Amino acid sequence: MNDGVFVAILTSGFALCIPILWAAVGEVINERAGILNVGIEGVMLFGAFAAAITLKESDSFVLAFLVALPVGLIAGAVLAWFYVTRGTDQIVTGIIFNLFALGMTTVLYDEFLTGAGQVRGIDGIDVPGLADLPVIGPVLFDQTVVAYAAVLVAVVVFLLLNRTWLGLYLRGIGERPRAGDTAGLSVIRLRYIALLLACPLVAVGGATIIITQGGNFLPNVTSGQGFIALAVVVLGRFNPLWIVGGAFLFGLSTALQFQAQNLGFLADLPAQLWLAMPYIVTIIAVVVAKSAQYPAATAIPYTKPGTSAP
Amino acid sequence: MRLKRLWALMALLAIVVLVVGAGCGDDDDDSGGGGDSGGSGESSGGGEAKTGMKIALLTPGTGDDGSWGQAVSEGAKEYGEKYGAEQVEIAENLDTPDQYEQQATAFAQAGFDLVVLANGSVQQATQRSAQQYPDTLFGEIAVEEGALADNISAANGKWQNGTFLAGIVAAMMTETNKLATIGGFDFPALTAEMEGFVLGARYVNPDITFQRTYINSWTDTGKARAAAEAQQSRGADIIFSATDQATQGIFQLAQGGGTLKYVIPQYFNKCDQAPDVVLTSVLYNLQGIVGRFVEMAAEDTWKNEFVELGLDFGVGTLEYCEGTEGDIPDDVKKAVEDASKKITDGTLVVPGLDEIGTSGSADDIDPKSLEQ
Repeated sequence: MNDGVFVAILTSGFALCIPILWAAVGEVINERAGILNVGIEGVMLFGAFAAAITLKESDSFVLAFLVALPVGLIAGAVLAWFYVTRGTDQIVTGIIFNLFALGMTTVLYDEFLTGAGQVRGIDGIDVPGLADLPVIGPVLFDQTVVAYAAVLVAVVVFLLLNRTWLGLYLRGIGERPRAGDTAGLSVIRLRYIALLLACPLVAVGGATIIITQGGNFLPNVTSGQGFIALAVVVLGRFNPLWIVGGAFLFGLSTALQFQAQNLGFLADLPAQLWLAMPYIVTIIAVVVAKSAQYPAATAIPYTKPGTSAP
Repeated sequence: MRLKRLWALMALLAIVVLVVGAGCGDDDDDSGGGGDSGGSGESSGGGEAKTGMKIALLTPGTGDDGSWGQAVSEGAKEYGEKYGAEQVEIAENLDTPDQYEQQATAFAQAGFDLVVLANGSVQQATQRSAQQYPDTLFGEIAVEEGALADNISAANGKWQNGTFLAGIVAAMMTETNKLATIGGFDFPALTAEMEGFVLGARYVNPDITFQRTYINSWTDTGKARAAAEAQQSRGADIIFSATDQATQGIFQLAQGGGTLKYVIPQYFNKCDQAPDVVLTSVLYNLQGIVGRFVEMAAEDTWKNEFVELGLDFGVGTLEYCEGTEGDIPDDVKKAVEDASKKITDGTLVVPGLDEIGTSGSADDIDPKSLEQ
């Protein structure tokens, strides 16, 4: 294996993990606060669609990126109303939300976005000096700005969850909501905050697919990456910094499958085996990370004692 | 009380989803069932073509996706207009066999005269729909020879002729002597396109090495880009893309100015999508293949048969791009023309699915043995 091949695996792996990373870093806020947002795929789709139509109308990658934030906020508010206020089953609601997002974006795509536009994407940013380093130069210092931002946001979310009062409250209601309630915290309000913080990041995950991979929306362009993000959160043991590693592992195994199909003796194995590789890696990783446990109250709607079920 | 409201909301949401979902299928559903489209009335003897037909086309992709979906949709619309069809419906973004069967039977039920399924991997759905609605005509394309109900007409293209010509261009243009192909899925009709490309390249230069990568997707631009990046890292400077909209990811990489210079897409002239990197597009007259079904239905020349259409039908031609045509020397174009002539007159035979339908099979064929 020569250097170039090695670099290509790492570069592709890093690039492929970025949408998943954004989504997973958002989702970890939810899960630490006791919400399992299965609707993550739908939020990504809305983000991707908003980015694509903004890019088409404005020709601005910056706007396409930014528009995902309010779109995520709206999606978060809608989901919060279902999950938190109405206390609906989060898995069922999430699935319905995903179907709704798929149908909705497909119809809107048919109306406003069809026609293959010219292919475009943002260029990598060469970090001066560092980009010329062998191997790690092109892998780490010639990526797109959204890639650096994703890692930065992971660190910020880590600090938010572990070094601030808000993070403490969120984690508290994710484990023992009733205890938090007794201590005077508003579980409802905190979970709203969690969703409103998380969903914009998830929507940005969808937008990065558009702005880094050709600039055009296609129906179901997220192709299950939201669900992979759900797995990556578990794999990263609900810690944003580990999640960076988990997402990279997934991106790497996706990139490796394409190299392996043409790589010496590995090429003799059937292509299908290599194509299944990311999923095999995920399953193995989740099995190995068996001690990872969801926060105790995740996916359980909270009802104040003494009130009837919503 | 509150629970009831919740259920009502959920039900409402479910209805919205269903309506929206159905909406993706048939665009405007005004098929009241009125149109008496006269089964066999006027077109018996010789001459008058039947007008007022109702035609449905079922396709992956969309009617203006700049790829397969657009090409087949154009065929249905153009020929529908030519033969004065009352209604031409395009059902887009269909994926799985059950979706095709559901749509095909729905159109047949609504009194459509002709339903064309433009997807090679839903043969059984066509067969079942056709048996259920014997009075509707069904066309299917990109299929293998197999069982045909009495009202099905099936057409396959000799796609590998076109990719063979693309291979000639690539082999004469490569500077690294390393070419690559990226495929959507590994099944014979598609693999034969990739192997045809390999054969064409080896026909002019036996020393070229190849990389073949499948990505298991028609639309995932990220995977296509990663696959191309892998191939580029091992020296590939021209890639033939045998996948659909995902090709945009390969374009994007080629625009980045690395080793990869050119991409050869297929199904549709994709120059507009990436003017600087599309070397040539492989076209299959998909418009004509779909149109042929409309023509046969209208002129009452419908044949219950399986045909393979080749260069004489316009299946397997190359279209150059304004942006890159200047890079292609005349002797390359000449070589393509010569090979094209030889294929048309039968002195050069590109093997079919049975010989090059599996990945890697073109490596074992001596390109010189193709000359008759």
